[in-house]
Amino acid sequence: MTITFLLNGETVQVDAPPTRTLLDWLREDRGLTGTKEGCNEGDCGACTVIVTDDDGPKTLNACILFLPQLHGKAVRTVEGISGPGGKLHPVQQAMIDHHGSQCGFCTPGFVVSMACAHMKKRSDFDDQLAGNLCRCTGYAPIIRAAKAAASEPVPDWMIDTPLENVQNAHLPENTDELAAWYADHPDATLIAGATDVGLWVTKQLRDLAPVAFLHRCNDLQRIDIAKDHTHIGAGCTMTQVLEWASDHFPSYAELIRRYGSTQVRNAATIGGNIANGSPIGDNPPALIALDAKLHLRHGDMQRVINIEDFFIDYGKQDSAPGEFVEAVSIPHQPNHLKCYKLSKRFDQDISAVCGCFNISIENNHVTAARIAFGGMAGIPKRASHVEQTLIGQTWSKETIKTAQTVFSKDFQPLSDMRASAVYRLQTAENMLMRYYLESIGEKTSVLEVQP
Amino acid sequence: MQGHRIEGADKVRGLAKYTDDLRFATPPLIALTATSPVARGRVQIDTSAALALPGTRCVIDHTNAPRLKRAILISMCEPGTRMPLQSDQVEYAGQPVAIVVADSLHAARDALAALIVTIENHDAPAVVLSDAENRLKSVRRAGIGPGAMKKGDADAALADASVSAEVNAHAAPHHQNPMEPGAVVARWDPDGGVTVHAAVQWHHLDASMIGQAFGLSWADGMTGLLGRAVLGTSGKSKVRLHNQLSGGAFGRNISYLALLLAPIAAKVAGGPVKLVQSRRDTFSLMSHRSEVKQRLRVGADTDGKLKAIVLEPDIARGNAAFVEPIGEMPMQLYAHDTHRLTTRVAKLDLPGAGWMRGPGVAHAIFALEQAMDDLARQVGKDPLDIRLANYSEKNPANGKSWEAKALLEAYEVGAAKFGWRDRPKGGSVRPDGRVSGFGMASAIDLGRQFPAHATVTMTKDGRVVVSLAVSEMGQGLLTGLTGVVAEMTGVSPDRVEFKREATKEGYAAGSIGSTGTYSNAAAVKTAVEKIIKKLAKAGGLPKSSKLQDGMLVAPNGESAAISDLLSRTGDLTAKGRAGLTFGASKQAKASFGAVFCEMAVDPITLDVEVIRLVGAYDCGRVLQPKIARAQLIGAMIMGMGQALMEETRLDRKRGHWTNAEIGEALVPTQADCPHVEAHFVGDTQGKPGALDFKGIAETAIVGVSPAIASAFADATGGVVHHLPLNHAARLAAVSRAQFSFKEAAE
Ligand SMILES: Cc1cc2nc3c(=O)[nH]c(=O)nc-3n(C[C@H](O)[C@H](O)[C@H](O)COP(=O)(O)OP(=O)(O)OC[C@H]3O[C@@H](n4cnc5c(N)ncnc54)[C@H](O)[C@@H]3O)c2cc1C
Ligand code: FES
Ligand code: FES
Repeated sequence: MTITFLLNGETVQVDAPPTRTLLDWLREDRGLTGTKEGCNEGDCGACTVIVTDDDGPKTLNACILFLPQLHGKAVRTVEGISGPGGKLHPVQQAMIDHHGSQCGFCTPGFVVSMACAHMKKRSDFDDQLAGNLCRCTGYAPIIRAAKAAASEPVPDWMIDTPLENVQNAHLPENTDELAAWYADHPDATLIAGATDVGLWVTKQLRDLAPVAFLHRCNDLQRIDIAKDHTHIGAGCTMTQVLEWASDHFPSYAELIRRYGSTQVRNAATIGGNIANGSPIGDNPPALIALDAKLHLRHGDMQRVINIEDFFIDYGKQDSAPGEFVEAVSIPHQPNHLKCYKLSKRFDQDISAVCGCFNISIENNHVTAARIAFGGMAGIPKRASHVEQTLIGQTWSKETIKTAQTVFSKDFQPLSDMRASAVYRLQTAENMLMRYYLESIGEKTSVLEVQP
Repeated sequence: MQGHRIEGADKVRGLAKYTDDLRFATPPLIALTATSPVARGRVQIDTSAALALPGTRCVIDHTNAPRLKRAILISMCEPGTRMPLQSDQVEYAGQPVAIVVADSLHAARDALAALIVTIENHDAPAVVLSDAENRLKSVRRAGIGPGAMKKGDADAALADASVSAEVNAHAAPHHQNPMEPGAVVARWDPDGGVTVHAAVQWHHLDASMIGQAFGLSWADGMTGLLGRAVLGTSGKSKVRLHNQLSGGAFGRNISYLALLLAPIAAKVAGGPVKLVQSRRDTFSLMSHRSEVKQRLRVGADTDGKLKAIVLEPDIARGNAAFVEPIGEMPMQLYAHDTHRLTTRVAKLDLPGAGWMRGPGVAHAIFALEQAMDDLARQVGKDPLDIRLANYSEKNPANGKSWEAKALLEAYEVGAAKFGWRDRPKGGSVRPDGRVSGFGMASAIDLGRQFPAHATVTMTKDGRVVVSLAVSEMGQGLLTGLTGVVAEMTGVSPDRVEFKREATKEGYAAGSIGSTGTYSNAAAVKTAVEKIIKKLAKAGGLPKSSKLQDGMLVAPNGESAAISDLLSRTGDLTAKGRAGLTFGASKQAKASFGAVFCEMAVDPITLDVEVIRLVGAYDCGRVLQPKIARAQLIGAMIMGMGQALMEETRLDRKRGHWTNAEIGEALVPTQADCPHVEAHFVGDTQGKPGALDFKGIAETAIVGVSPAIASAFADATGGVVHHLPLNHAARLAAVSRAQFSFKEAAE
């Protein structure tokens, strides 16, 4: 497969196996060793690069980015952050001035993340840099450096434009092509953002052939607002979903803000997060609570199901060979959604429990309730008994307390390294109380924590 | 620029080269390590499929690896106990059982995936202390620390004490996890010697480990090492170890297995080899901080003054002699009448444990400070006041006076900067609905000095060249030492050159235990003083003259240009040595500190957020305040990680680490970080001419976990004696306290 892209301003053509990662290629083939490998699984940001496509520049982790995903795009590595003659970028100068570098191993990744945030005039440094780990500095000097550089102009060498009219690299260019090809090759592996699939290659050393990349199917990457619902293409990244959700379901947006890191959200797609069937994916509970529909496609055939019906059992989804997720649609509705994510580390960590609550109250009575959890069962699952206990009742603390007692009918969570069963059940119950208290505008601190 | 890190500009450009980044005229083959999936048994490896792949050069296991000799290792790390690939015995999960060598990284990964590793007859391992009751043995020494100590009749004093407290502390194992996974390049030279490129913390020690293992000349063995360390001799070394920049280390880059695996691979492959470690590999090919249980009982009078300290730690050790030195420090912090230390150690079926920032002391002080808080509650004193009440002017363990001790000032400055005395009541509700808690703790870490031999040359063209094989792991040692030399010689820092990479350079104290800077600085200082004497002689000036701005200046103001003197004498070289007594002196030496923590606890989830950490530290003379403060803050955040999240878990059946990846063995991210302040107290300028440095980087991890646990207890009433304070531990503690947030709010 011949891939063409811009690397630090220079056009490169690469002939490589489809699951060659950008990081390996940079370091092994190009001798560009500024981009570091700290984990090879998307967790540390040492390998951060800037990738510019039609939507502009964004940071991605090169260790779980396959070369074909770059076709037609522009890549900038740490070596391309300083200008001609080695002129330092303002963030680089600030990192020196503020001692943002100790051992320096994380530094290239930080510099790239900071340069991208700088270019996009982002000042939410905590979020922009949450995906870059540093073990030496305690971060404070790095944040100081980012702030100090913020007012400096963007150096002109930083501006990249994606390539036009790149040659066809045998990547599906739209959903119809993808559907036809996948129907013919039902054993193939689909690759969207590769935030899961990347790890199968780098950690499990799996051989995936044949593969199909979804990223050039522009028609899969749109969010359309129709008359009675919002249609989100399966190829939309979590960054896109975050932007959309901020306007419609802020609590869902806040959940996604804590999903992975900027780099991961720029890659991961909503389709991949649903299709992988993970019991701890963050989107499914929110989507179930929002009564979303899943659009599945096989060749020319499309079907629509309730999203909760997609998850049959641990590792088992309602999809046929050659069938893929095309979109998810969310009915318009008043915003009653609250999402609570619990993880061992506040940011950049997979959920131990993710609870999403969508409860309608009229005349102080519960008229509808959709509650779903991740991390409480082998699949993302509705709390049907709890919902039934609530519906029709007055919206009161007593009702909540009664409902709290039926959680154990819906869930028998497991103890694992993320949380104990007791803790999971307890906090799931508490989350319902929090929803209630927040709805009546009371502080949650008057709650009892009683195991 | 003054105060700037020497390697800073390269680092921000991505030009700083770590071992895996090096390029060589003959590109090395790539080696990866296959490790055992289980903890016990006999290994058999089917290499045929791997060898059949076109890119594979060779596969090395115990059947064809060169036989290595025993090495005596004062680092006490794993190779001193067992050399890799010497037998089919598997003694821990993650143990290296084979190396694949291939043309490229990809070919090596393919070869690794094609190996078939079979482990026969594996019996059940014991990898956690609770499964190893029958393996516990009492010890007189625990690593570098004492295993048994006794002052007076502590048990009787405890029984008689008016107030007493008992802490049963448990700390999970965790890993240093610096950001660089690391690689080692090795090549055998025509004369039978070996050239190795790697990042190591203690250059000559690890060169000697390689020399001993491969049976090279005496100069590379223990005799050679002692000669270098004690006499400063160089000897004809055949281990050419080139020390590269290290992407962090925190104790991990000492005597690690890859330093032997790479030369093994190069020997069998017959050419240069780069052995690359994946992040997962580092969890078992390198060391970790081991699991520790401590039963600590203290007795006090009604004022809370300590009468007895009885500490009974149970410490896990893996396949290395190293034992977490729990007993070393806790008797040296507070005044007390009697103490007893009784340590038991269990050898578990784990990789060798080893050094990590604040070895022993971080855990020991956690337990001690929890006991102090308990006493404070019982006698109705403020946590700060109970510490003041037990302040000791002398070292309470041996009666020696301290070289310097500004702990009182640390309490005062820390408390003032934090606003400790005016803090709201613990458990009060914040505007955001969360509950506040406040905690504090003391910090201490022993100062040690190790041998170092520097050779300093002042050249006619105005440079100062220092031969000293120091290790730069990001702590800023190079920058600090350069500053010392510049200050003493009056030469600008950019004219100071360190030759440190190769084994042929002077023996340097390892970058361990925060001792690197001051041990090495002392050697450099002695050498420069000798040069000054030579210059003074040449210029007919008194020996007490000083070098300033290119001049040699006598106390009476008379002076001579250094360049003139050097043009007469030619380049001047002198040797300086220090630390030959390993720090034994009439006075005791330690760094001290006080840490204060504000926390918010979410009553629904028991999620905690550390809002502020304020530390005040007496670390003696501070060379480069910016770099030193950066070290303190980095260490405080690591302490926060240790308190809240760092834990490597074990599968008790198969014995492997279950979260051996950076996404699961969590470390703090930017978003976890509170407002952090680190203040220096004590004599930060130092006495003129003296080198009164103390350790920095280790002290600041020490008090953080107890201050955080105290803040949690203050907020919720839940006393957690488990590190880290994970959700399960928090929930259990809060339930034990039968604490109701409702009551707190009302
Ligand atoms: C560092 C890191 C942090 C993370 N943090 C979180 C987190 O906080 N919360 C969370 O929920 N997840 C998290 N994840 C998991 C991951 O981001 C998601 O599961 C992701 O959404 C997968 O999407 P993708 O586009 O990257 O999928 P890919 O990796 O490309 O594919 C995932 C799976 O879905 C299939 N697939 C992809 N698209 C389709 C489609 N349209 N139709 C059918 N099948 C398809 C693929 O074949 C594959 O089986 C994290 C991952 C990493 C690496
Ligand atoms: S190497 Fe850690 S995120 Fe890529
Ligand atoms: S400076 Fe060492 S990891 Fe950031």
